[in-house]
Amino acid sequence: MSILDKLAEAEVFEVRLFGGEFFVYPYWLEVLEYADKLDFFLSFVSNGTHINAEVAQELVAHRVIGGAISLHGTKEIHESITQVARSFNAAVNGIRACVENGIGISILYTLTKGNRLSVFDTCRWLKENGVEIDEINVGRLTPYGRAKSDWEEVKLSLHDYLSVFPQLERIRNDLGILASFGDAFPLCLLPAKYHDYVIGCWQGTGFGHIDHLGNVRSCSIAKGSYGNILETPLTKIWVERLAHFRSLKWLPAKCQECDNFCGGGCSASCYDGGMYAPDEFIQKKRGGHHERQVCA
Amino acid sequence: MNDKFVPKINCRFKIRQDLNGFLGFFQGKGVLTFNEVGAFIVGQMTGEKSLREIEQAVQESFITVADPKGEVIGIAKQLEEAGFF
Repeated sequence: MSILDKLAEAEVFEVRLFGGEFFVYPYWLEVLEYADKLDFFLSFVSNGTHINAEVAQELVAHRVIGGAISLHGTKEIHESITQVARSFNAAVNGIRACVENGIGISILYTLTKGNRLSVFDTCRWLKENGVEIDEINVGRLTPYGRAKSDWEEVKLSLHDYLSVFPQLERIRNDLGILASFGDAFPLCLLPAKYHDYVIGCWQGTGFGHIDHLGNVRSCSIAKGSYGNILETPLTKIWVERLAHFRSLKWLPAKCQECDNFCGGGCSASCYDGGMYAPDEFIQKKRGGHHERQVCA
Repeated sequence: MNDKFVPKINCRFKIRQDLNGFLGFFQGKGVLTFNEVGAFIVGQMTGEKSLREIEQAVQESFITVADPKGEVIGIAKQLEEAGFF
């Protein structure tokens, strides 16, 4: 609660309740109630498995109008990734509970080698089974959590990512579902006709991540911390300690000057990138400095 | 746009001053930036005042604004086109 107080002091507009899995936290309802009392706009990110009608009604009662639920493929593929039996049906039931109570749902679909070709099939399944989602955002697999330990084996190639965009186009055209690439991606490596499919990333400018101890990161999977809001005002951390990140001096010159500015892609995609770094597909020059960009 | 129109923004929103101007956060829609006058005008669009009354409020609060009617109508049109009413 003291973290929420600090966010209110800093006049933060929106709090997106995150995890781990927010709804397994024993005091999630108290957090929701308190955050609503502080008049934040509220949304959530969840795996959906703990959301039923009762939970959805509590969300609505506290003025939540939208959220995001992770779904990583059709049943077999999703459960091969989560490694939890029946997690697909549980997630879908969570989505239905939200939608039936008027909460708009975005699907978060983290791409892997195993599911990258199933984005369309997943959306078709949802459509055919009457699961009315607002949109689907596919996301980058980053060297974080389970993916970190065997990154060289599991990481997606540039070709893997590029193969996803025609599917997003088909989902929009054939299924009428807004399908986008939800993370940053180097636009110079992407055909121009797909540039509008990339939502991009506002880490450290439009949003930040605060962990349960109050530590501030620019995004939930970024490494390190800029400070702790229980010790230092968020406004000070936000304005002063993120100044170098926002200066963009850490980006290759070509990225800084690019007309199609994309922020240098996804900062969290680089295995050895530290707190922020150019995208994994922006190559390093000899000596370890990111100076040249691989352009299509 | 008729100056008797009573604009009401159709979502929860908040506006606050930022380093380089004013930021408006509109729930479920996104973020817009405004100058001080624009922020004031949008803050009035809560379904209680007509465009004419908002124009008068601008005149009273910002005496140096040369064309308050144009400012109010301009913002109202932009928000209308973006589906905010």
